[in-house]
Amino acid sequence: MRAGRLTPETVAVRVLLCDTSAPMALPARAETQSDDPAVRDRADRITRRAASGILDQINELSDLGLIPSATVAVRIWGGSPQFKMYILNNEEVFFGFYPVVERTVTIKGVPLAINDLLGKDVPLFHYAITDDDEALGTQFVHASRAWFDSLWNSVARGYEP
Amino acid sequence: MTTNAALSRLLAGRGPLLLDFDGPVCSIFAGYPAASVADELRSLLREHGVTITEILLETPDPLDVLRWVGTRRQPEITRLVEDALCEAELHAVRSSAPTMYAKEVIVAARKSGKPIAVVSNNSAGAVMEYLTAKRLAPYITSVIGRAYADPALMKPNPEPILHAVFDLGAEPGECVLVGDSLADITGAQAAGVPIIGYANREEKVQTFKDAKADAVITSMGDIAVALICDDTD
Repeated sequence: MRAGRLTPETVAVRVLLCDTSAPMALPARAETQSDDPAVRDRADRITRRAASGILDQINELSDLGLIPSATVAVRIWGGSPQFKMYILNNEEVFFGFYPVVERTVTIKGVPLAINDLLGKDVPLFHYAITDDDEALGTQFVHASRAWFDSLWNSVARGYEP
Repeated sequence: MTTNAALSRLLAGRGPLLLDFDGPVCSIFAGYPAASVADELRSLLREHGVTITEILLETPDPLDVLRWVGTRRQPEITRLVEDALCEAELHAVRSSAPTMYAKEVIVAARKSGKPIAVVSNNSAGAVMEYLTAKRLAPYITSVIGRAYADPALMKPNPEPILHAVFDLGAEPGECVLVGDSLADITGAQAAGVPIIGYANREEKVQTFKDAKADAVITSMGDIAVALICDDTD
């Protein structure tokens, strides 16, 4: 869009995140294998950064006049992160699992072993709609969208990064 | 927590990390005091007609009792004390207290590609029991415990340290040992292994410096921090 190669009339982004303000199953403190406020605070900072990044980019493109109509909505729900899923224009889905890894991180200068979620460098599976209604890709994209909408319109609530 | 250049240098790269057990990993006798175990071993000796010298009457350290027995050339008595101590240690690990940041050190070391061995004057069985219970066993490549009924081979004898180095297929100079006693320091020096003195009591700081430890720390957290490259704070 920046380079002018894509010129959409409308960009509407919906981001569904896990609520880091309530106890979570993951990430966890390794010693106890359960929720820890310090571990959750770290997850919250990472989540906030990611969400703000998306908001800033869309807002900037909009401010530059590159998108006539741009909206971004962020909601949270009370689940623990287990995978990432990108649904593009109801046509394509990229899906990647978050494996759990035990590692030591520093939180405010203090080392802490945690059961973390490995989000970077995991393989993303690509599914796309085809003419074949029975095809795996078609079915997966439809089911992903239905799943997303069902959470978005039920237990998800508004979030300000 | 402090980090210093010497510590970072000692922990750089993928050189193996050797950990003494009682101290750097946990306090094995936290719930079952070492002094009670030493008393039990003394009673056992008396039951078998062994006269205990005055110097041994007071020691709260069961390993001192074992060492002393080992000098008496009565192998069957040494075995008796060894067996009793192994059993007491197995009992003790169940009420041991994890050392602050030990898990962080072990997880971070493994993540940075360092093989880890535990080199202990406690019995390997007790060490394994602890590591398994704390879900640390998968991170540890090798556990070298006390040689059975042969206390002369305990640290400060460099033999168990070299055994660990050999197990990991490493050279002494590329490893580093973390220990909280002078026996660890002199043993490591005799083995040619760099040594980080973990001064878990204030008075040990000077002792370890005088003994020329390559680095002295007062918290295992110092090692964890030095090992972490991750900066997502």
